[in-house]
Amino acid sequence: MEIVVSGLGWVVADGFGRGATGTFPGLRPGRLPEVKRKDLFDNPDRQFGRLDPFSRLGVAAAVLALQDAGRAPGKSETPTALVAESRWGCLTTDAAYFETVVPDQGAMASPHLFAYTLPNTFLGEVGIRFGLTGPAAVVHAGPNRGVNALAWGLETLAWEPVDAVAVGLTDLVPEGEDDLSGALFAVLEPVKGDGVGLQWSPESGLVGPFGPIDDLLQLALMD
Amino acid sequence: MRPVCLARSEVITGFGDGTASLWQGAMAGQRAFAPVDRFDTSQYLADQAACVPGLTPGQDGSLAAPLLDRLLERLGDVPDGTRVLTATTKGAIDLLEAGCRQKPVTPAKLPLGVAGERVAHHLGLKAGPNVSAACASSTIALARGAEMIARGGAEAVLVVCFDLMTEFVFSGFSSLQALSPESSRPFDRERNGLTLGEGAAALLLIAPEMVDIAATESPIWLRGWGVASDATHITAPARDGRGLVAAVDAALSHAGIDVDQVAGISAHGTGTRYNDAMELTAFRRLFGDRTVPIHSLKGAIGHTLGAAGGIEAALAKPILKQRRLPPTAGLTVPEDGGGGRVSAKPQALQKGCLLSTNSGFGGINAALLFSEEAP
Repeated sequence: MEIVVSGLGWVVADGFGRGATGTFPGLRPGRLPEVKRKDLFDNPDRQFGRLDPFSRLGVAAAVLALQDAGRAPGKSETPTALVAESRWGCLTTDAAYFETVVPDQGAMASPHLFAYTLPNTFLGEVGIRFGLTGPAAVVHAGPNRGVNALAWGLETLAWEPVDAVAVGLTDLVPEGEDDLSGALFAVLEPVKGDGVGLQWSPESGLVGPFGPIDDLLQLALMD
Repeated sequence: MRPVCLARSEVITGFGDGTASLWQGAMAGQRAFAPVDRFDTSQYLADQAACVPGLTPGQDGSLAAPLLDRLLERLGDVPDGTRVLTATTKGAIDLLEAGCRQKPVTPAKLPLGVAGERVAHHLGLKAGPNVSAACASSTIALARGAEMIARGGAEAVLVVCFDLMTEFVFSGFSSLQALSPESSRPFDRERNGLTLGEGAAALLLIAPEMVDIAATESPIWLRGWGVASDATHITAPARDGRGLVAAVDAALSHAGIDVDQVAGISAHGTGTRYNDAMELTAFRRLFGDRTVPIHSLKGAIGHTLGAAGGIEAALAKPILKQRRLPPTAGLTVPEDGGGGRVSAKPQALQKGCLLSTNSGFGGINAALLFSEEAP
């Protein structure tokens, strides 16, 4: 299968941006920038400001990538898939939610926060804004970060009835843990017509002009 | 593409250990619900759940590892080189609960990927990713495992799924007004919410060449699978069932079979007003006036979250072999549109495929098609 990276978006310590107007700076230590609604959407989006920090991070990067791919928010449906890799998932939201449960023996538990204590909920938020009806899932690595969402996403593109896949990694590291926070999404599509694309097969994985591409970070840095 | 065989499965549920005890309890219309004694429920809408009997915390204070270990002991050995996929929505979330209550907790044990590491270590295999897609997690893991085998990328895939009944989840569904104050009554006209459960399942998918090696008894076949999103709402399903219809259509297309070949449905059937109405709408769109028998297991063992799809898939073998669909426990008067389809008694099935569906937060939907005969 020949594929092309049609869009790239990121929110990392060195800033946020899209592929068409910037260069992915890599995942480095540091405080993440605050992405506001007006950085992403021309129209009001009250829900965006109410998202928990993990969801807001993932939604922002995915929105930037989809816009970079020429997608506009709207109601018309398209069978695009969403796959994100996350080591820590929504643990920061989980902690924030349970902090509303502990006092008063649960009487003040927050239904709004609870809805976001599933790692895949933010993918649903992206899907709603862009009408994405393909499969959506978050895949988690163990301590050795062996998961490759890029591989999962490419398999989805090859095997399932989708027109594209937005593949990402999203991590908001809990306080005190030594790891990198940030989010990066790439929109991958099959090459239509003539064009020079990246080559993928289940046996060889993804291969670019300079050799194998093993993960999303490598793909983004190459792009 | 190669056929995919469901060689064997093991479950641990509110009915205890093993698929046989699950089948017997489900067929008898029993309910595994009991008053919750793990935490104070006085501030919540409900006070019942279906907990695994005799489950006690491990050394780290979590119920997760003991549940997984108990399941894997029952499973026994799997073929060398088996790929591993896990599915859980909250993993050892009881550890986070303890942490919030100022008890020592090791953060490294919290990420959901730890489940895959534990399963792999127990079985001497390489760890695979954990799939997190709300209440469709294990269904999607099964779909991906099946695709890997069908495409020749694996000879055997083990899907292990679990979720715990914890105050974290109980309080959350209570805050959403989604818990039934009594007990869940899937597809009932007077249904008023779900009842939580906990459980685990391990399902071994294999290529046909492995049947003589890895299947303990006559296997069944996973013929088709499909996954689709509603793209309408985060917690409520699309009322027109669009995502579920798309997932089922994809599964039928994948299996290369017609909708008329579906003999019965193991539905998600949580007992909430919106989910059950959505499913009946979707099934009406798919099957028209044909009264395909439908059941939900959740009236018996509660909603086991990420493990639901796997546990329900484990019943596919007895359902297809005996051509009987368990009753929907808790049902008294079916919802409009459920008459003649859902029943409080076991239902006989015609020869054909079993459709198993699950839906979840984020608007995700997944469908699996099983048959007794190989394609």
